[in-house]
Amino acid sequence: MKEFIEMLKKIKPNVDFENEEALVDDGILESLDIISIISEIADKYGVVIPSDEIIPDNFNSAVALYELVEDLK
Amino acid sequence: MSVISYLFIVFLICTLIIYYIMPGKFQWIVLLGASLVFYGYAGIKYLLLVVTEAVIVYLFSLRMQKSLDEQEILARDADRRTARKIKNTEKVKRKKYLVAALFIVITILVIFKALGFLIENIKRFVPIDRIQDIPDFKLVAPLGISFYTFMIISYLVDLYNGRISAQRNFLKYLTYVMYFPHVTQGPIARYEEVGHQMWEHHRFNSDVIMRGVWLIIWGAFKKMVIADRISAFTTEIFGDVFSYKGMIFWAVGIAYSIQIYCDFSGCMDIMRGASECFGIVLGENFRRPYFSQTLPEFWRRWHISLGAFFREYVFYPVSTSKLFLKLNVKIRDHIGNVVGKVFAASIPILCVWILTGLWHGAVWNYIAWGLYHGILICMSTLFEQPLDRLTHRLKIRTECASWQIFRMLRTFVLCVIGRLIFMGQGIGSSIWMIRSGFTDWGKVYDLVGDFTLAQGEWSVILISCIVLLAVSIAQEILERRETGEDIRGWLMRQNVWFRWLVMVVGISSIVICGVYGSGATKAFIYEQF
Repeated sequence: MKEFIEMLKKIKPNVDFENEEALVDDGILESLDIISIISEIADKYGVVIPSDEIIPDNFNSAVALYELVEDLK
Repeated sequence: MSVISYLFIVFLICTLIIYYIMPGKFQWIVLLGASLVFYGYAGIKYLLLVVTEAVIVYLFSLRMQKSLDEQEILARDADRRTARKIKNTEKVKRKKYLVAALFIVITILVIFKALGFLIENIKRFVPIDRIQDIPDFKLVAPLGISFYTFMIISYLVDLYNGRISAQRNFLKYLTYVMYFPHVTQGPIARYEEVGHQMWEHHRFNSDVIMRGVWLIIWGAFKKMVIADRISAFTTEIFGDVFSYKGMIFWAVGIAYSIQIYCDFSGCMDIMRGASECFGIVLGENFRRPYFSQTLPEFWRRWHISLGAFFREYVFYPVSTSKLFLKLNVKIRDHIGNVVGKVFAASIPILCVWILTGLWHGAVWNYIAWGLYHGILICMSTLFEQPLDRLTHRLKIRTECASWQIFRMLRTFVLCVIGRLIFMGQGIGSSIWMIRSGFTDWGKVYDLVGDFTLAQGEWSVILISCIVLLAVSIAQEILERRETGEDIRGWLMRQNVWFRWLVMVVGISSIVICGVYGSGATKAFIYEQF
């Protein structure tokens, strides 16, 4: 999980990924950030997140996103 | 049937009476009947086309539902991870039906909206006799074809993704597609947002009706008092741009920005208000877009349902395709995260914006307008962090009102330039307006003496715009407080006499200051798209 959060911080610095729970709802992550995260996950974990999984519930927190990646592995 | 005609008022009242007399489980049939009458009024042949499209999509949707049913049985006792795998396997089965249905509805849209443009431009650029012999092709597009086609696409894709279940009753499905408050100009309502509301039993409630009527009056005020009055001025200049030069193009750009906002959001308010009278809440399509501080924010507040459609059904699927994901990683590895992120995403962004331009019609000006916004949005993201650092170094207090107003004005100016691109009769006339607006500052016009609008009409426009600004600021403040209350909610808490007074003042201002009767523009700008 720590490594996962480091990866997120590399893409979007200055965001409190450890505690933030409304990354999409509060507009912290824009669509371009989401695409960068998805491409980084595909590159690092070999997991392609399908477009129908791009919903706020899956991207609002680092934990939710991590769980999604684990499920898709 | 124009929604700002007496006929529409009679139509709405009659439909409401029948709707609330009817037993709850049959109320949706009243909506279907009214929608068929409303649409059929524009032409029976178009009604037949929409119904035929609906039948085709309905048949494909049932096939997809069969796969969803199988998926549900297989995933019943499976854990989360296995359930996802089953879902992905079943999605492969559904794909052929999705592709076939999308091909049909998109082909129909292209035939009506873009084939003439394609033939015209092929003839222009390919000087071969056989191609030159192809006759010009121009079909009159069915009312609201761009809107209902996008609703159908969202229905199909959501079904493919298993986000919704197919509506098995064809007539109910047809009610969703043809629902008269959204079929002609949107909002592009997703089935999961409005479908269930249509089949529910709605009891008569005078408060619900009053809230709906307030919204209708507010929309009619924006359309008839502001937009239609400004229209005389903008039409005069856009109709003959080469006869003018200088600052007047900034004036007409600003005027048109106000006009198109009042026209489109006014129509949305009338339609949403009418829908709320039936107890069906349609999504907001505008959230005071000219208060946006950046262009991406503007597009989250302007024509919200179209932006959401393109983001979810075009941008995400294209950007998350394997090709673009690989490209994204490679580019970011080479030129860094910040710049790479924008470069990698710029191709899908530009595709989306060219499509957004094309959605308005197959015209070069619309394509150029889409490209202009696409490029600006890429640049806005590219310069986001450097500008943040610069403001920090310059110790600018970004939370102070003056800085926020400056950013709003900057965004508004960029939008005004976009309007001049959009409204030109050809790219040459847009370039003329923008270049002249920046260079020929010596030429001065008298807004009262040199144009159609008289001093009194300008005064009406000015006072109405002040009212519009005041209401918009009040709504913005209420929203920022996050209490969940809007202006109509606040009005509902007031004395009954005050509530009726607001309604009477609203109606009176439309009757006294509105543009109507013979010679008035009854059409809405977005009706043509």
